Parts: sequence; C-alpha cells; structure tokens
Amino acid sequence: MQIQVHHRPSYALAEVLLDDGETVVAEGGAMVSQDTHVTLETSASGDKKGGLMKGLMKGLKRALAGESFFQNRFTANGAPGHVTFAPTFQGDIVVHEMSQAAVMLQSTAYLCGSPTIELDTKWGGAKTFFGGEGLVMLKATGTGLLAFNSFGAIKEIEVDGEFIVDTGHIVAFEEGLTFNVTKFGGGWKSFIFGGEGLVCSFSGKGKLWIQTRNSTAFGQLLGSKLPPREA
Amino acid sequence: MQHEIKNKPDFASLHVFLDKGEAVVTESGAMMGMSTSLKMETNMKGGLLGAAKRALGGESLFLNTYTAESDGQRLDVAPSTPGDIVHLPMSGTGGVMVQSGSYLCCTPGVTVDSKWGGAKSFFGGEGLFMLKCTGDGDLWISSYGAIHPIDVQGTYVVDTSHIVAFEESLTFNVRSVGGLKSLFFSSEGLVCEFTGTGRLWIQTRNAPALAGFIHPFRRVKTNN
Amino acid sequence: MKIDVEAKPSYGLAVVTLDKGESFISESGAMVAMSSGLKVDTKFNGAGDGSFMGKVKAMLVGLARKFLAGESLFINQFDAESDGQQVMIAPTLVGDVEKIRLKDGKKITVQATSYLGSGKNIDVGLIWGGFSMLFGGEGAFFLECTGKGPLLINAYGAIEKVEINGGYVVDTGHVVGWEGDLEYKIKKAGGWKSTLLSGEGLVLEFTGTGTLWLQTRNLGSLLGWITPQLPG
Repeated sequence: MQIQVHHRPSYALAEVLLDDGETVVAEGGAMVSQDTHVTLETSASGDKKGGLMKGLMKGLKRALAGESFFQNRFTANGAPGHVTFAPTFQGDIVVHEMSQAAVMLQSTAYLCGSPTIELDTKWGGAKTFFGGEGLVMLKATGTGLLAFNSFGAIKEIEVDGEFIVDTGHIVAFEEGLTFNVTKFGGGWKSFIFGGEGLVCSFSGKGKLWIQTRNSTAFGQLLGSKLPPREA
Repeated sequence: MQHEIKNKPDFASLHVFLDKGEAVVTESGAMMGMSTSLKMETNMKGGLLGAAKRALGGESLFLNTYTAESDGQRLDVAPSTPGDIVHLPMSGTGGVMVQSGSYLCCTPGVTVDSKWGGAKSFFGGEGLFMLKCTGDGDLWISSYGAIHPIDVQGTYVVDTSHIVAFEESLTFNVRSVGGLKSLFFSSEGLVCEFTGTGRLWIQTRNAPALAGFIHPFRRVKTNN
Repeated sequence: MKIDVEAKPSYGLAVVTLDKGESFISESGAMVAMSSGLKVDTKFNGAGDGSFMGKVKAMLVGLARKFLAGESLFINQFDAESDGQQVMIAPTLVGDVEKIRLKDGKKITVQATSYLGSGKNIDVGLIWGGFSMLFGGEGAFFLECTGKGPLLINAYGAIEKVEINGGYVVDTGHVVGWEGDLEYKIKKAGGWKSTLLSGEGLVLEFTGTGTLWLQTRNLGSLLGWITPQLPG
C-alpha cells in the first residue's frame, strides 16, 4: 500500500494505492472517490476477532473521542485499485510510518491507515487538554502507515528538551514525550488576558506535530457572525 | 487576452489582461480589483427566463460583463468560496457540465445554460444543479477545496458533494455506496458512478461538512 | 531577530527567532507554540506610556479598537532571556500572513483587523476612515504604522501585492492595506443598477503611486455562501 498526499497544506487529499487484496481502514465519511472494483465493508472495530460486543464497545469509545462510530474497510478486489480520502476541515494531511513509538492523536485527527494499526481511546485524565479542546486523545499502536489530518498546515517539530504549545494547536505527538498543562505566561494576568488560556509544555525527546490554526477559535469567530440557530 | 491564476489551490485568484474591445463575463460579486478603463455592465444574461433558471442553479441572477475601453486593462477576479480555480479552454466541440456554485467567469463566446433533465437527482436534494457550458472561448471554474482532475476510462465512483465538473462524454448514475448497512453506518451517503471516457474534476472538500462544523458555534435563537 | 513566514498563503505561520534581550509584540491569542526561555507580559493594546494618564488613554484606545474594529484588547510582549528563542504566531482566520519591513519615514495603513504583530519600535495609531467607509461593508477603522522594524499583517485569503501607478479600483472587502503616495475615493461600482445588482456595491478608487495589499477572499462572501447551507 502507498499513500500519496496531494494539495498540501490547505485542501490535502490522501490517495491510497492498493495492491489486489489489500485493505485500507478509514474514518467513516472520508471517501471522496474510488475505483469501482474497490469494495466497502463497514465494521465497528478494526479486526474481525472479538465478536460483536467487543467491536461495539470499541466503536462507542471511538465515538466519544469525536471519531465516527464505525470505520470503513476498503479492499481492492481482482486488481490493484485506488481510493481517495479527505477530512472534513480545510487543512493538511501527513502520512507517518509507524514502527516502534506509539502516537497519540487529537480526537478528530485520524483519517486512514493500514489495518495493522490499532486505535484505542486513551482517556487523558482530567488534568489534560480541557477548555473545549477535546478531552480525548486516540492512541495508535502497531506498524504500518497512519494518515492524520489537521485544521491548518501541519508542522513537524523534533522536541529535544522543552517546548510549549497552545493546546488548540496540538495534532499528535510520539509517546516518548511527557506533557504538562500549565497557565500561559506563568502568571494570572497573562492567563486571563493573554488570550491563550492553557498551554501544554512538552519535555523529552520525540516528534510533535502542530497545526497552524485552531478550529475551535475559527469556528467561534465565524459562528458569531452567522445568523442564530434553533436550540 | 492573457490570464494568470495565482495562489492555487488555497485562495486562488484569477488575473485577466484585456486589450481594447475584449470582454469577460463574471458571476456577480467576483470582482476584486480592476484598472480604471474597464467598463462594467450588469445584465440578466439570457433574458429573464435564463436568469431565473440560473438563480435556481445556485448562481445569482446577474452576471457582470467587463469590456476594455483601451489596451492593457487588468481585471482581478476572486470567488466567494475558499479554494481553487481551473481554466478550461472551450473549443466549440463537446460541452462541460459544471456544478452550479462552481461557475466563476468566461469569455462571451461561451454559453452557460441551466440543465434541468436529470440534474436534480444528482445531488439527492442538496439543492444544487448542474450548468451546461458550451461554445468557443475560455471558461474558469472555482471550488471549495483544491481541484483534482481525474481521467476516467471505464467506470469511476465519486462522492456527490465533491463533484465540480465533468465532460459531456461521460454518462452518470447516482446510487448508494455499499449495501444498506453501509448507507446507514458508513456516512458515505450518495455517490455518482461515471461511465465512459472523459475528464472529471473533483474538489477535495465539501460544503455540507463545513456547514456541519460551523453550525454548533452559532448563537442560539432566543424566543421573545 | 529573524522572522520566517511558513505555510503561505493558506495558513500563514510566522516563526520569530529572538536573541537575548530582543522582544516581539503580538495580538493576544496568536501564540501557537514557543520555546521555554521567553518571558511573557500581557498589556493593554494602546501605545500609552507608563504614567497613569497614559494607562487610562491606553485603556480607552484599547476599548475603541475592540468594539469598533475587532482588534483584541490586549497584546502579548515576548522577551527573550537567552539566544535562539522561538515564538510561532498565527491569526485565528485562515489565510495569509505577510511580513513588511518598516523604515524611518515610511508609513503603512492597514485594516484594523489585519494587525498580527510587530517589533517593539513600531508605533501603531488608530484612525477613523470616515462614514463612507462603513458603507463599503468593511470596518471603518484603520491602523497607521510607523517606525523601524518588522510588521506582521494577516488576511482572509492570500495577500496579493499590486503596484499602483496611475489609477486602480478595488472592491472594499478585499483591501488589506497600502503605503505610498496614494489618495482614495469611495465610488459606486458602476451606474446605480450595477451598484445594486452587480454584487460589487461600493469600491475604492486609488490614484497616485504606491503599493496596495489585497486579500483574495472576503469574509462577507464566505458567510453569504455558507449561510443557505446551514441547517435551521
């Protein structure tokens, strides 16, 4: 399987090239176009083992993480085939080759990947990432290709030491990094008036992916200018 | 006439350079800037009926025609949606079907017609129609997202909200993407299966998804 | 100080690298990420001096900016405590970020909502564009920037630079800023019929010599396009 990303960073499209018999797993609703001989199967979990209940539980956990309940499996039947995927928001897509380090992803960042990648909802705990950014991070483990998306352009940063990021701009990070949520600027004045609220301080060594825009802030800006809605 | 498309595919802008007597027709509201010797005229193109058909097609009732009164005039055009612009040269043979919100601009030799037959089934009630463009000249289309061209040979399937335009040589059939279970749970909805040989343009984002994203951020109506 | 703008023109991100003792000022809420060796101070957004009256004036100007122009009430000042400290700055709106270097004697006028950040030696003054500007559909407040150092502006859309020599007509919703020997007038787009029906409304006609910065989209059109697609 190969995944090529076109039109970075604003309207990125992931083109997956499958060999005959190969499968790619994707978030529900992400398919834009496909060859006719690529078949679709919808399931609640990434693998067939474990029975219906286990599958449903995983689906539920994922739904609470902001990902859709079900995942779609696209398989090329009889010949190599291609499928293209795009996320909901404007923004970027990055393809990461998973080997050893697990990757923690922002709840809405998962797009598609090899079926050998396990996705689990990790409850980050009350001290992490609240304030509308999403309580939940998805943990991806296994080997293979993982494609994740963002709102804004994705910038990869190699952390070596300490680095501070506004919580709304975090896309994903490798498990080797430890994080600590603190007030912006260290004092109360900056915390309340500095416009940042909580920030996340990463330390250690590992890859961190940030996005150059914040979807919640953008949604609020546009939403405030639109006509009001029914409750 | 010369043109240049810049800032692709994010916030693409079209820059047209006109000599005396040359003209372009744009959708209303698309002018960003222009030289001072361009004359602008607003018309209901194609008469009242044509304009009404076009309004239901998602385009506004009015088109603006810019005619250069001297050489070296410049017109800068921008669509209202964030996204791409692509130039389609029209040679008089074979038409192009364009999604109603994607028409941006053309030269006067290109005719833009709202095609009714079968078009409504296309978007399953999304309220969009296809416009049929034929004639001789230049056509520019815009999108929400980047425009990605695909050359179809045989059959190909596309999610309906991602279709920008396709050549008239392709026939199409709208259906659901998988079995019943997929229709309800896969979130894929309706797709369009194209058959034949020809070029298809898709956009890499879709408007209903953006509307769905913004909706919860709106202020809630209060009843007095 | 070094400033690199990445991810142009869609999601412009300004990466500012500061050495010990250097400072940078940005709109509040614009920080994306930063090194740990930067001290942050949050102030009212008005170029007041430290005295009491100066602080009051700064507060009034800040309030005017917030409610009438959409600029934030506060700014953050980042001071580097050692070399090679980085702060990454981005606006809330999707779109471009442009870096402009101001020199003594140069003056740039920008839409109030386009200010993103600046060096410590840039003075930013609020000016009122006049009532006719309000009818053009854009905010009537502009910021006049003078001084020496870097200025960061942002826009909804890509920022296009147009060199004017003679005359040029612009849709008011697409103006980001301008500099130079330019005069402008508000005009109707065409005759009365055109003004009402063309979708263009009012336009600005510039005459003279100078540089004009345009944005290739405008927020009003985006809202007009997405509104009919929203559920009730």
